Amino acid sequence: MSRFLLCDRQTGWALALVLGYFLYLFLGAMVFQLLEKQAEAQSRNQFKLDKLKFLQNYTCLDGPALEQFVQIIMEAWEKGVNPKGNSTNPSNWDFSNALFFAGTVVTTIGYGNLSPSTLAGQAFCVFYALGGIPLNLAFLKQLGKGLNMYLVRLERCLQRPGHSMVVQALTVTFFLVAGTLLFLIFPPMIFSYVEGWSFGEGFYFAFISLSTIGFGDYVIGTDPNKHYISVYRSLAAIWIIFGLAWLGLVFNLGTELMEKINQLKWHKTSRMTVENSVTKLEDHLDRSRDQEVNSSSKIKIVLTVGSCLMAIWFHGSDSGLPARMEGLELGSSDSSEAQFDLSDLIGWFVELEVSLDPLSQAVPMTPPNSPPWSQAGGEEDVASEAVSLEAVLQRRGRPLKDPNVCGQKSSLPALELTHSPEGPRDVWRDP
Amino acid sequence: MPRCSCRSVAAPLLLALLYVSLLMAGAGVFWALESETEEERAQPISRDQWDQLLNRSGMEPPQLEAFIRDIIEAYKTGINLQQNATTLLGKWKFAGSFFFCVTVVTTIGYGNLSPSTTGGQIFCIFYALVGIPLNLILLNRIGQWMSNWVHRCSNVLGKKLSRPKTAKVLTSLCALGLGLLLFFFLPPLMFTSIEDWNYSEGIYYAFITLSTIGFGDYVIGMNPAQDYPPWYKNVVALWILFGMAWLALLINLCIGFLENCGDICQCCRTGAKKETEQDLSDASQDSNLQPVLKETTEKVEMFSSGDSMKPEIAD
Repeated sequence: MSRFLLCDRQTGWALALVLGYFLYLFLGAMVFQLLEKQAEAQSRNQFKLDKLKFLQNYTCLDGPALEQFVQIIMEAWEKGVNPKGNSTNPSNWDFSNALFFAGTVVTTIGYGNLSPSTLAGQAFCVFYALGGIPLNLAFLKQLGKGLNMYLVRLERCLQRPGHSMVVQALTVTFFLVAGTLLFLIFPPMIFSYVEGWSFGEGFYFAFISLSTIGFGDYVIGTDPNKHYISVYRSLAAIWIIFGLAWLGLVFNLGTELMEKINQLKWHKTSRMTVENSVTKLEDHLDRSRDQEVNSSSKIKIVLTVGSCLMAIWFHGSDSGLPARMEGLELGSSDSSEAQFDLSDLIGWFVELEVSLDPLSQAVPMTPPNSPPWSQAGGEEDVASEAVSLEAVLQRRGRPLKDPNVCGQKSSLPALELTHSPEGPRDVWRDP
Repeated sequence: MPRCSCRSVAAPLLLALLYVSLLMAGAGVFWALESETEEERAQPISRDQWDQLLNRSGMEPPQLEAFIRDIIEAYKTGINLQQNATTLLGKWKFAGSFFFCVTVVTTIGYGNLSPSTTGGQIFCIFYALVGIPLNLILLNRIGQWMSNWVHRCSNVLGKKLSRPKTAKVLTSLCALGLGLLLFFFLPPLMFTSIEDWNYSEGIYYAFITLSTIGFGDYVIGMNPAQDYPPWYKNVVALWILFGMAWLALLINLCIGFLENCGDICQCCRTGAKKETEQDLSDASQDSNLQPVLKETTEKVEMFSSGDSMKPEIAD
């Protein structure tokens, strides 16, 4: 019974998602049509008028000849040759431009102002992207980790007892505001100054670049009439890389918030179902349990929801762009918790619980006997978190009947289980 | 901290070095491959045609330049100039707008269409801000569904063969092959028959699209001389959705592989792991903690089983 309910809910959510997605697309299509169609018609008429005027002025040119002329120019433009000016235009494929192109490939921006036209170039492009995109994502992830590390360090510097939540909220806001200024406000100013765009156009270019949409309607450093300083494009490339790492974090936050909102709903409505299945499993495995377990499971569910929400908050600033593709791993497909890195999430939760607990304020966040690589991030980080928790609990000498502490403690074996080849789900699969 | 500094510094540094060198290498190769042909292409257009045009039209060079600039501006705004005025392709009709929306939320961004009005640009920013996460969620779902399916297959096969490891490898390979066939080798056939491309161009288009690079040098349904069947764009949209999920899966595997390779400083790593294990075993041997550990293990098992939503687990 509960199985069908669970099934229904999941398919229902998936269906709603698909429906919402297509609805969203349709809505967007309508709005863009509304906004752009008039402008298109206007510029089309303008061009027609220009053409007629041109024909009137130069009577030696007839209609078909003009068509041919236009076609030649368009073909040239498509192939990346700038038909304007004299024939001594600088090449589109000199080294710095090729580097810029390679950057647009691996970041998947793909402006398209340059694209390989030879068969060899196209084939190489495919394999280059196949190697380069994962590398780029790994690099951005590392960068995101680095950015996050500074954030955490800042947070620890600022932390005073009793103000932790306020401080955390402040640091996140600071992170967002500083990032917006540094990546979305200042660069467009520079671009609009150098390229002669309006600020709005500069901002539009910045957003289209950093979201890796990359229409290519505005590309920096392509105006042949302008003289750019030599480091201009390199600086832009650095901006793009750091900006991508930053924007990845922001997008990540949005994605997970959306997922979590649904999950919260699920948790609320089907707590009964969960308990049913829990009791069923208990019978099935024939393990003795006392009454306290059931009541604490409720508390744990509530705790997990809370922890998940808090974990999103932190997780959003923890992993970079690659988290877009997290959760697609072959292994981590069972529960919806596997959508993000469970170990990260629990690690954050543990840390948060510890930092929120008034008793633990006296105890340092990283006990002296904890291993020194606790700032290195990744699995070791989580493991050390667990060890530090262990130490905290030991030092406190507190009885572990407290449901709060149970919630904390429960994450410790979970860490072991998720990292060991036999996860909890494997245990249940063949009882 | 000092013990592990080599790992925490060296791995990212190596990654950064690898990244930069990859960019450099790519730039070199593209430079070598493309610049020659570009020069070849540029020659006839810039010399012969230029002179010819100047002679034929009797225009002054500056006027001709101004005219060319106008044409390019018009072309950039998405107007098809090749046809005579009555049969111009309305790119911002509903179907075109829909396709544009798909390219925005998937971050493909071909750029053959892009908003030119300020209102359109502003809306595009907010639209993408909401649409990209939504699209990612959907892709996650599809990817999850796909990998679930593969998982199930490998389970069934593992039971039959009674060798789960070989079954897993076999199904993974099968999934890879099937995905390649379904998303990379069959769709280009359709493109070659409908568009005016050859097969290698079709594969190139497929890859550039699914990897969300989206140069926009090849875009489907944009040739005004061609008659497209009505189902064509919808099928392509579906292909994009599933293919992107599949490619994301593949790229994710590549990232996992890369990151595993990135942990080169094995000495520190194994040392750290050993110490962690030591600490954990110490903790578990502590008589005070023994019952607690046991109890919490039970609870976690129970909770995780209750929490996971897969039907086969509740079975």
